[in-house]
Amino acid sequence: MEFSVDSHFVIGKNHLKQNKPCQDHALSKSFDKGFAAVVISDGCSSGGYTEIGSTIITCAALKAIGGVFKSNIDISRSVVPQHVHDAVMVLVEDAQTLLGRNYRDFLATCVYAIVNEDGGFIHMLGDGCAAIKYKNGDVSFIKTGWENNMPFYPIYYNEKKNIFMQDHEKIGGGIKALKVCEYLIDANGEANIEEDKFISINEAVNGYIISITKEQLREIEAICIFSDGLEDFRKLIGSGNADKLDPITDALIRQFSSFKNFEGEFVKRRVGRALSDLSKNQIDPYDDFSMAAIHVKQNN
Amino acid sequence: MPRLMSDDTMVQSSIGSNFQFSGTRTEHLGASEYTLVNIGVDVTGSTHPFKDGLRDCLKAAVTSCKKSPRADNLLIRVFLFSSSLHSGIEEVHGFKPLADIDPEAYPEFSPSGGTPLFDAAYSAVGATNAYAEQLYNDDFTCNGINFIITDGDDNSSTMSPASIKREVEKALNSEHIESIINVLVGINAAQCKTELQRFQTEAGFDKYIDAGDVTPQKLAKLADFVSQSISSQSQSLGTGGASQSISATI
Repeated sequence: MEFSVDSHFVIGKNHLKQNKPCQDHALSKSFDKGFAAVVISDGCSSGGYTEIGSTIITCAALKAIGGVFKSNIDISRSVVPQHVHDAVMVLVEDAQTLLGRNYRDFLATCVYAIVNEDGGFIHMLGDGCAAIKYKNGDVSFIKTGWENNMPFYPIYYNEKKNIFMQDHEKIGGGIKALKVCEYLIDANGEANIEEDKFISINEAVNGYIISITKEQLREIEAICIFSDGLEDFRKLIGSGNADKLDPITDALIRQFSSFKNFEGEFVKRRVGRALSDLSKNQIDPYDDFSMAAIHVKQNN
Repeated sequence: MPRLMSDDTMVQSSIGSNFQFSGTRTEHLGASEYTLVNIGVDVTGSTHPFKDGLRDCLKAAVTSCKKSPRADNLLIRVFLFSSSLHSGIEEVHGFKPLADIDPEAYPEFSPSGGTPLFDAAYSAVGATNAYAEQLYNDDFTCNGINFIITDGDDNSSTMSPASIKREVEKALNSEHIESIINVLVGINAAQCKTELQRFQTEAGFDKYIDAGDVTPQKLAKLADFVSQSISSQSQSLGTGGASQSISATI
């Protein structure tokens, strides 16, 4: 089994209009042919210079995952996501101190995926989406969203966790802090909700984990992760108004995961063409959009 | 069609019924965007006195592209043309990434025969169109630049300037290719300058460049012109238009 990886991110229409930079970032790395990771980070628009934070978070995540790779830890062990999370926080806080940045610059999500031939997992810290595309054409799509659109950003974890948790409970998000929806979209585009659940604040601050077993991995073609920009594509309907598209019913997931081949910059190529095709129908990303993917090549 | 450096990473395709070209299979291409380059070199009998200089010029142009900041985004096809070759056109190599091209391995030229200039131009533009469509279908973005280097007017083609112009217009109107530049270069061609200029106009080529008489300096300038123009066109990829800085003279 071998893996190829790539990632890409683009600015959304709102930031273009506001003359702001893209605050999403994405990175990918094959540590060797049998161990790969991808990461995306979505900076908060109302934070500080979160384009800095999102970039540092993706770099920190890959560095932390590199530590897992070097130490030969079995990545199917349940402690690994927390280990990566802790290592990311150490690196991010070191960077914050070293560079003299305000913590508000680091208000950014961290969604990453790690695989080796024994399986892997997707870890969503903050909000985001993931799509697991199977060889038979089915797509398992998972999206997470925080109550009141107030994500728990990883930077809160060490010092501001308690304040965040108290604030969240005040707005009624204690038990229903994080909503997770999982859909199964078949090859014909028919979608069924597989799971629809809430995660309590106590659990959600550790992130949402999607495990991928060794057996599952054999059936998978690609693992994709997205920022929540995937949920803010809009179609212009005249007089400046635009309708928001549903990533499932409007086939955005299918479009972004329909890779033609998996060499080199395969995500950049697919995202570029999909955006170009959507734009012809006056559909554009209004929020910044990032995507990263791992292709699973089965060596039979 | 004999070909150097052929391997299973290449696929052969047709342009119409008479011409063929080869290009790297898209599953072996890693970048997201490419500039397609054709360099067609006249190896008719009249180029015999400066055949080594012409080959060195070709080698220098391709080698120089390797220093371009866009080196990883170029796919170069080199072919020779003469009526003494099978079908009038012989690929030295099809569209390949620079990393897979060794200009030092280019064959010695053996000039002879007449000038299928129109066929050469048609092959360049047609191959660009056909390969760009393959790339487009696999999500790649591309533009193109073609050079036809000749020392004389056409005297043995099956294609006409009008058929070349149709291919040029196809490229300009196609969504498969962002922009294309076609350059006809005359070297030692003072005696047929008028005919070449007419051909440039009738075929819809962007420029006719008279490189003057053959001297080592002129050939070096020609090599520099080709590599600079390729780099410039490649840097314009993604802007929606063609490069504006192709020099009009050498």
